[in-house]
Amino acid sequence: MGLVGAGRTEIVRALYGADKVRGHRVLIKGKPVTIRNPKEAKDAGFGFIPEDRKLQGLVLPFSVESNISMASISNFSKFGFIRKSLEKGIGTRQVKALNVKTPSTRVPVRNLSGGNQQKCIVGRWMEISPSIFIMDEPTKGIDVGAKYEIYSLMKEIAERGGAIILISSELPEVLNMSNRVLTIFEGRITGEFDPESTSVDKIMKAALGIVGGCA
Amino acid sequence: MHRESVSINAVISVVRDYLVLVMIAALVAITAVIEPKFMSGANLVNIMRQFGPLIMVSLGMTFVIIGGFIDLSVAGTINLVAVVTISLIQPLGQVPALLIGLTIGAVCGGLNSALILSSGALTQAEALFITFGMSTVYSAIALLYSGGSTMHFWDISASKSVFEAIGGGNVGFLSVSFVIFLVCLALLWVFQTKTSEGRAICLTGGNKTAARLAGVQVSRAIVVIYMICGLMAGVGAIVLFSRITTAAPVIGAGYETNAILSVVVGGTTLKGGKGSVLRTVMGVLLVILMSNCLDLLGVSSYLQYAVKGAILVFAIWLDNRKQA
Repeated sequence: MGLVGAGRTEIVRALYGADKVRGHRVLIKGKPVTIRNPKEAKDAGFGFIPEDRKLQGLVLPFSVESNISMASISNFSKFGFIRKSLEKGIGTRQVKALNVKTPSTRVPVRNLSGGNQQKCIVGRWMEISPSIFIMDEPTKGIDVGAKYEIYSLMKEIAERGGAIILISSELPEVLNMSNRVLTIFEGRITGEFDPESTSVDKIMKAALGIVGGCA
Repeated sequence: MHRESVSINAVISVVRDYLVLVMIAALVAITAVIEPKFMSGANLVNIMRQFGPLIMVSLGMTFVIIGGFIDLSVAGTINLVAVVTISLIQPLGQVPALLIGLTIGAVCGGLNSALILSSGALTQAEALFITFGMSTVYSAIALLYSGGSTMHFWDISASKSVFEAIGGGNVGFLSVSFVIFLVCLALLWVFQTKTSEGRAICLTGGNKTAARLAGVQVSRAIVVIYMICGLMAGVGAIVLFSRITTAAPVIGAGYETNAILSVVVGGTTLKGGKGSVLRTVMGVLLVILMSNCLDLLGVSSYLQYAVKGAILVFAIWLDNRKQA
């Protein structure tokens, strides 16, 4: 939770290995892991939904299918060769599972609506079931129906034991979806809250950098 | 609405594929009527020979362009590989010379990618300038190595049968260089369309940022495309000097522009992501036929440069219009 520009994206990008950082340590379940690039983050169990769907998430002229299969290429390749039928299976499975509205898995992902595009990115990661799923403003600019579907998906992931790091500047979203809220202001964590027991006012103040605190 | 836009795209892409073929057919028909010499056996053999070096370089260039980059260094690479390989036939024998030549090509490509990656020059424009600079460096090394002099086959007393075969030998009714082309084409086509590394290259060209964030190894893809391009420039250099039986340190001049022209005219987009080595074959065919026709029709070579330049610009214009 924090304002746009507070450094939220920078923190998760560093965590995910997308940007070079000096001096950091990532512990997963108490064990240190080395993450120098997104590939290593993926192998360590991370999933990542970037802030800008069109510029950082999708290859717009490519098909729905190849956008969904992007992260799991190694799952349907053998000796470096792509097995088309398996790839097609992945595309169809995720389109069905996430209720992506598209005439076929072969149309360019550019033709889909914002919400359906975002679901393709979620589907891409569902295929490798990440244990830590970073979502940077996953509901930005998508319609209410798709928003709701993404919320239910998040619940599903959490119920299966996955962790989600949600970045959002929408307070209701943060309060409804989180077990733990961290507020960020000017690149620093300014507070840690339990959304059940903390007043909205306190969280807002910490996010705006007016007062720090713990609850 | 989806359905409609899909069919329009399909029609446009069919027309565009068709366009190259139509242009090839029109060119052949018109020239054959105006200048009957065009269809003579001697001229067709001549066309097949010219096809050799340019197609090798263009096949490699296709990968760099699909990956969203560009390589202007192939001219320098050809210069370097040609003079080094020919000079090593005498002291080391022909097979080691051949292998060292190809290795130099791949290393030149690898060096380009290392410079691009280490400087973080991840746009096509930056890659353009880096490879342009490296072309000058490779050419200069070729000049220093050869002392600026041209080396000839007849100066070599050791056996050079392999190179003579590449230059003028036949397998059945096909020339050896054409067989080399078919083998390279088959390997590269399989690599591009069937392997996960080929897919990684396409994704990198489509959107490097998205590909990287999805865990695709973009850096490795960049190294691979430049090494393929360097290696194929090396193959092109060997086919070229074997055919003309001499190697001057300026032998590769103009190959970078002709290769890029062939790739783009074939229909591989400079924006990256989409394209195919098969399209490049059509592109090369068109470019070679065009030079041949213009030669036969007595068009001055100065004017030919203008025509080539105009066609490159037109191909890019068409490509941009299609995507707008």
